[in-house]
Amino acid sequence: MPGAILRAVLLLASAAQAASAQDAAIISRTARPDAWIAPNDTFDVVIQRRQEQRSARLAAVIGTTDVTALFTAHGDTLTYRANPIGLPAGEHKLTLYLVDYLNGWTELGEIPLRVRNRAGFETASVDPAIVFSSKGQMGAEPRPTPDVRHAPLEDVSVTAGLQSMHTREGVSLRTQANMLGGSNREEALRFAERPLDAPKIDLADYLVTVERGAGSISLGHVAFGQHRHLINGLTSRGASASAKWGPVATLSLAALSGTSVVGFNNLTGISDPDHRIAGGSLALELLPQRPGGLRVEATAVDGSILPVAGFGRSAIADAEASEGLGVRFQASDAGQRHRLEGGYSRSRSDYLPDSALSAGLRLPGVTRVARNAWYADLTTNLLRDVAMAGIPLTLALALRTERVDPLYRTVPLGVRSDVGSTEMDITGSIGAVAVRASVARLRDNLSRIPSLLTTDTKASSFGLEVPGSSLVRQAWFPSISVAVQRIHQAGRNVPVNSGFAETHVPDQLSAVASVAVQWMTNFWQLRVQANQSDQDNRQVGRESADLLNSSYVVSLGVTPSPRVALTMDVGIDGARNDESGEHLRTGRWSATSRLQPFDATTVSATYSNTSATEQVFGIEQANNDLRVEWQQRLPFVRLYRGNVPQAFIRYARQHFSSSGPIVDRVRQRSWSMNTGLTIPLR
Amino acid sequence: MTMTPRRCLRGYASAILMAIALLVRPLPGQIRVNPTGVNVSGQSATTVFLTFGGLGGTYRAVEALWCGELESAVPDVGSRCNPATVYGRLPLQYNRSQLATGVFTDIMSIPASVARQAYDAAVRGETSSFFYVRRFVGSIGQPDQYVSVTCRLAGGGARVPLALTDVRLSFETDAPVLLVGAGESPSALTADIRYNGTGRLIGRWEIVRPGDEMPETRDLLTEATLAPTERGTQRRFEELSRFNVFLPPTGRTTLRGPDPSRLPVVGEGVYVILLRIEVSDDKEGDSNLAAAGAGSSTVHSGAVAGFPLPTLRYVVGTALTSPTTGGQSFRLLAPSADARLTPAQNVTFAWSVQTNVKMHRLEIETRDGERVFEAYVPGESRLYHPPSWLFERANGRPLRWRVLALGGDGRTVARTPWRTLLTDPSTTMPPEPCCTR
Repeated sequence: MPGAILRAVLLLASAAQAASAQDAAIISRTARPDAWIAPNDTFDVVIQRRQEQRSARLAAVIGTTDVTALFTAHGDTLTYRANPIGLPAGEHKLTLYLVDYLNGWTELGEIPLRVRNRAGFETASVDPAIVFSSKGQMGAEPRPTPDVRHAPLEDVSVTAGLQSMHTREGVSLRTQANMLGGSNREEALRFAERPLDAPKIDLADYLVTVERGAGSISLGHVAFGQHRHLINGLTSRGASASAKWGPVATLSLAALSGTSVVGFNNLTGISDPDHRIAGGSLALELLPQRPGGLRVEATAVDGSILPVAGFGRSAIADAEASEGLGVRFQASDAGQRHRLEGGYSRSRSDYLPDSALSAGLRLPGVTRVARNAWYADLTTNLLRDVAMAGIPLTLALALRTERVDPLYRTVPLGVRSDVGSTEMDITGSIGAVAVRASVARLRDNLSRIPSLLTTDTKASSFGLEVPGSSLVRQAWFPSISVAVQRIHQAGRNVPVNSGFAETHVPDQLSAVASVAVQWMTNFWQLRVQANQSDQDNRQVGRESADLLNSSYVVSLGVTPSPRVALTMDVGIDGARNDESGEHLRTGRWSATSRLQPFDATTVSATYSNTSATEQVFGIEQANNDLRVEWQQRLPFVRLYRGNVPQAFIRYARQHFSSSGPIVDRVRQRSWSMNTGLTIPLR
Repeated sequence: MTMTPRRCLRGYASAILMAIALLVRPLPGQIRVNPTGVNVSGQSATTVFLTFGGLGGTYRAVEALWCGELESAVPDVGSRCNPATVYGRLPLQYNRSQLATGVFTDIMSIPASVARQAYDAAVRGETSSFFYVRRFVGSIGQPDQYVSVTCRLAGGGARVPLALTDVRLSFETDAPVLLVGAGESPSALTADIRYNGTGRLIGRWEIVRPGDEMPETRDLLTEATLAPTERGTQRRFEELSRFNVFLPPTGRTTLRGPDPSRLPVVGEGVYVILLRIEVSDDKEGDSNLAAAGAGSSTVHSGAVAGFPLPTLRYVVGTALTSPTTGGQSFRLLAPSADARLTPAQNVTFAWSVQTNVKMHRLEIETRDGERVFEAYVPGESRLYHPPSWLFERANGRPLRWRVLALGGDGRTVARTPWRTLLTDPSTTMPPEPCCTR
């Protein structure tokens, strides 16, 4: 009922139950508590509170959303009036809080809120979008060889998207699909994979999800797995399903492509059994009244993959298969002071025949082996809710230990195997100042095979963050962060029957330090960053093979108005090789500006200059790059549903020169002028 | 562990051949390689830059094999693989070798399955090292030449050449192709990199705008993968930012992408982000050209990779939002990225000014997308103090947050990229000032 004001007042006894502060608070709403209201109905929430509570602000929260800003507060009344954002549809609890500086957020109580959606409990929406672009090159020097210049408006591309949502009788269907296409095959999604016959119009991704109650089924771009050593957040094309039984149990099943895929081929992602991963997990909340208090999750995975890296990834890949089982548990006390998480998995794996590797030869191959991996993380808050001289203090200690057996492999994850590690991590804060320190020990060759090198690694780190502006509440005071890291890695011995000599055994100490200072205001931000690393080789015969690297960067950003943005970077890198005497210095500066003189016009320009010199060996490199672009929306051309076309013209110029002891001097100069027109249809 | 007489004999034979290979002075016209031996990872893939010299314009490289033992190649020159111990052949897709001015540059990419066979041999008590053997065929009737490199099984850290073995680019949303409304900022992007060795990773993030020429495969190789004469000749694209970070000898890193606010989002179309890796100084990967008979200097090859690096795409314009102006300047101010929040802190979320905004929506969720908290904030405000129980809900999990600017019709006008937060577990927070301003 648009604009209607509901006047029935009902007092809620539940408001008097929660906290001590609410003893004198009574909450009422100008509607029956069981009544459904429309999203654009107006109603009041009245809170009767004690006199001493009147200085505090009222806050309203629905579920996990602070909706206070959707209400107008006047005295003890919060008034909700229709607005385009609207209240979320469905049955909720509206929780009221008092917020003041001394006591923070204090819950007053809650009232039920039942909101109809705009279509009367059912929704149906279909949102297509399509953008046609045409671009071409007006000129370039040197001309591409062969000359494949595209005349203005000759090169056409299209991007299309479709989203829909339908809900009926508790069942919802959501779909989403995106496609890319173009006349230039080099821009095709799968050009890297199939340079000769990549489809010019291809599917980027899609997702179809059906939900009913606590169950859901998805097809398309899905994710699965939460086990650190078995399968962990694998995202790929495939199918997944999940069902919840109350707050206690969650069952998840999934079958996915072995690697990320795009395109219309292999639409389901799971059509190739040699490149498919299937898994399932069952999670139990053993203390359902306290989620996370004690949770156990069992996971099973079975899969095989071909030696391909997948979309968006490059790797030295093998054909392999694995099947594994894993268990993960999480426990914490009621106050979250102590938390323990651990996991164990056993995976049976081997490498599969690969014709590219064997090339007709008969290889010894490998045997299928089952190996284990486990980890345990304990976190305990040593100091919490403690203040000294009014300054709050915290201190938390984390202990982590992990072991991954030699030859442990699981297809969905690239777990680093044959490593055992222990780590202690301490984090704390004094007021707003945060401190972190850690020490770690790693060891490999866990099977102690005498002909393999055994390496010990000792690492320690320290970090400090001082958010200056928060401390002194002055914008001019910077935030400072400091990080120091030290890693010593050394071979334990010279392995026998191995081809190793003493000079081949590593003994290296690395130290890294970085400092960043940052000022930030509404209109400008300045960041100064320094980083230095020292690689100190200590092994026999390489004592002087040390490297010292440094990097200094200053970045300034100025945004005097939303229509003007300027950034400038200056950086200096140094790399010194003590053994050879090489000292390479690289300097770079760049400036970027973006101006929007009118709503429909944007002009941007970028210039960068990089130069590198090394005097001992006579290396010189220089590169500078200028790009200017004018983007113009064409508001006088109105298309379907008010869509506005856009045009651009871009000039780019680049100079590059290089010379050194191995190569003769190289000089390159190029420029190009491109134009384009974009027509969106939504 | 006992060794059979036959294995003993093989071991002795291998040792003798290795000694011969190391001690005997190369004959004139003999093809040589540098480095002659490298430490490699025993549990994962390894990539090494090799330089062969002395081809004299009359030899061409053919196949490359890995094997556990060598045997004499007589009547040919050198030592070839014992056919009974061949672990595999360099797959064609990883063959990035180049021949230029009589110098043959080879990128040896050892798949993990090859290292595994060597590991199995070590478990059986055999010599753990194995060999990479390149065969060169003469074009004027000379005998073939076999040139070998010794691969010693190690842990993959220090003393192993710095090389990238697995690179994955992704936006935080993990979509294969990110869709961004015009004027909105894309989410943050990262490169998840697995590598061997230790040293500096130096390079730059570049972008290909709609209408620009796309990079060729050669442009996507790391600079260290190219022959020395080819370096510096790759096409450059518009630079977004540079990086220069130290990679510790622990095998895996996540490299942050450029600041999302620097990604162009005004013009509609498909944008391609490139990760360009420059060569760095790494003692373990050095090729001594003099030792290989290919010149007089040393070639660095830190951050070599046996594959072209992946690219990442985003599309501006297809998203269903219809932004107005100024989206690119809409950004998060505080807390900073990866800030660690403790219960004691008076946390304030802050973002920049944006025009034509009716309301802001602050969204806080876990990295896997579980919504922890959100809040509507009036359009004229740009600060929010969260309730104390935010930390309870976070339960120590890493979070990310962003702000959406909503127009008068409730639709998104602009949105910031996600920014990550680290939290310590807690149940309460000390008093804090009121919520919105």
